[in-house]
Amino acid sequence: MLLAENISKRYKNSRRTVLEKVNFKLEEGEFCAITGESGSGKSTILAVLAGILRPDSGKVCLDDADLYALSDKDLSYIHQRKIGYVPQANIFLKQYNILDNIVFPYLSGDTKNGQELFERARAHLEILGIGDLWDRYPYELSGGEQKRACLIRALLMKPQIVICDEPTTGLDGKTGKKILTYLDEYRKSGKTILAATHDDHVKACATRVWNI
Amino acid sequence: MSRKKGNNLFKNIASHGFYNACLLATILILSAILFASAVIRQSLNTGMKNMKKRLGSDIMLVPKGAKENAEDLLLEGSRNTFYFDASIYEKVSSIDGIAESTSQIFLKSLSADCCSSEVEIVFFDPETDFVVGPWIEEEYAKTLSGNQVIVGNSITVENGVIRLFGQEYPVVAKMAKTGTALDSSVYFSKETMPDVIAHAEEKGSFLTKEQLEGGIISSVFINLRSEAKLEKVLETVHQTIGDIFDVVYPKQLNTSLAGNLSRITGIVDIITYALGGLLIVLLLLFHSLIMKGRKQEVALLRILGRTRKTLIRELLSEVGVISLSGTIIGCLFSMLIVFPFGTYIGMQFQMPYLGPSFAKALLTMLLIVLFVSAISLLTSILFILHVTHVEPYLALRREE
Amino acid sequence: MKNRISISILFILSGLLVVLIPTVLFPVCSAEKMKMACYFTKKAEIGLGIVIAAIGALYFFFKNEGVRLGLSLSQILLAALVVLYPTKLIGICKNTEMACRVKTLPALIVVTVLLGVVSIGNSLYLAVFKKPE
Repeated sequence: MLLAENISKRYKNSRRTVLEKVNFKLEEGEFCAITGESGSGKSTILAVLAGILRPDSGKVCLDDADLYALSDKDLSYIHQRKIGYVPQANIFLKQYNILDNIVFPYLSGDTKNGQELFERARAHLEILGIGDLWDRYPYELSGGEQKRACLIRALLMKPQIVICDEPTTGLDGKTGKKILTYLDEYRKSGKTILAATHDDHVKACATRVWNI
Repeated sequence: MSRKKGNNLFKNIASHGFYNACLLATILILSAILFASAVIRQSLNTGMKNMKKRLGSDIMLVPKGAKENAEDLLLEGSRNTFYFDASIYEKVSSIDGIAESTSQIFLKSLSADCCSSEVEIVFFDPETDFVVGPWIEEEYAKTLSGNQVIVGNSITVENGVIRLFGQEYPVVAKMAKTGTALDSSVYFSKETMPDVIAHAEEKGSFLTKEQLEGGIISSVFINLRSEAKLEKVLETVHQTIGDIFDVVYPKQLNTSLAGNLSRITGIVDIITYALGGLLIVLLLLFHSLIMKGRKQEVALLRILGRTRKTLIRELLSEVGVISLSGTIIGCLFSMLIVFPFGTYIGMQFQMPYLGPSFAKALLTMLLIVLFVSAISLLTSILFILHVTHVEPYLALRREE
Repeated sequence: MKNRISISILFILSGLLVVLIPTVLFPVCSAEKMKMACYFTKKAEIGLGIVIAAIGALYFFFKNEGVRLGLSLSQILLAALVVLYPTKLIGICKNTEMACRVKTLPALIVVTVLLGVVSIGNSLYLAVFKKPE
């Protein structure tokens, strides 16, 4: 369903080509873990696959639609409904509380389903054990709590594919396990997961490991 | 949990509070300066236009040594007194080449140097007058007779009369506003001079010996026949009354005043342009800093599915709110200074100064609000376009 | 806390200005030869300025929002009085060029408007957002 063909990428002002003619295919219902050394291009291929970093050459297709040939409107729709991306760093809008941070990005214009989204977000916060932190501001949360909130934000619109950049790095075992269980549950509901990782627990959970 | 759009807008603005406050201050100052300079220019121009009306004679004869005082009186309405003998008028008026002539007598403030209802008093001759007439704005009666008076624009008339030295004088006309001290003058007919002076003396006003004695005039206004030569007429005047007079050329004063005006407005313009340029540079700086600070936020929202168009609209409306409130507050603040201090500003320029009407001031404000908001939005659009077109992943990484 | 300090400072500053404008900054006409209306307006403004500054000082010491709302409301009325003394109640010289009319009155108008805006805004803030019991 997500297909990358001949992807090459070199960052501006950098001599090294990070990705060279990379081909990759992600099947529906998979949990694919991407591993590799630091600097091997894990994060870069994730970003290219997520449609947020244009490759120098090659193309990325989601269900036959070339992500980088789409209009801004169509690509935005894909980001909202089809591909959820969890960045490596926990990034929030510092002026909003956690619940608003999770829901607000999806609220522009059409707010009809607003109430439902808030309820869904509260429920997921509860599942991940941070239900009582919904009205805190991002800076009041620990790294693990922030990571969980980021995950909920990416999954809120029930995207087909979730792409996570190092979902468990820097977290204690217990929190890491919670996140993995949550991701696995999500996959079992018929969705697809792609994660870059160094963590053996993630690899163990994955249905396929791709060493880049 | 408030989910109102407006609420989010203010939250977003507040989250970059410092730079947005700087932006607001810059816009506020820019608008205040623009408004003040626009109003000052308007006021000086209106004052100038009005001035032409009252410099209505070719030449004006005044006692020797009083030339500067007389010019000040014409231009700024400053209170000066200078006299020569009344018989001079008779001698001069019959000189060949003179089309019309009239005389006036000025009295400096009649009592102490400041008093609640203090006025400048001018005696003129309604029979021969061609100087006072053209400035009349509003007529109450057709003729001036007996103890009737014409008043300057800022004199308060109650029930058609004014009270002076315990007497009531019916007002027949009001002069147009000049923006100078002449607005607080009262114009009496020459015949009433002895009476007025007697009443003033009764009420304890300080009068000079010559004022008490009478038989004096301050100036003779002369219009020449079109074919008459100025030098020739002046030579005859000189021969008739001797070397006891100076000549003032009101129409030339007008030209020199216009020169002053363009010099002052030139300076006002230079200051406005220089500060305006500086402030536009500051606007660019603050917009760039604000958008730089929002890069990550914008990238995040794009990754989560916000379209570029929506983001541009949201960012522009934030800039719009700041700009609009900044420029309105700036104009109001400027209004608060420029209007109450109008007379003082005019005195500092030593120029006739007539503030604009309320409607005109509002129109000026509206234009400035539109202009400054447009400038602010235009200077921000470049940065907004940049921040919404950066690859989201790169924007996120740079901030990591 | 922030509101208490900043508003208190603004009130005290306004009070000081009301005292200083007719005496030092933009003095009224000289009263050497004759005491005119502006002389008495000056005396009244000095008293009024002291009251405004004193209320500003009191504002700092009261934590209770209700009391502060009351003090803030009283400043609105005092602000009006600042401009009513020279215009209606006592008056100043009628001559358009006298110092009191050209400088003192405009300056007092500016202070009145600023003090009025601050105290009205602050009263609304206290009444709407702080809701005193």
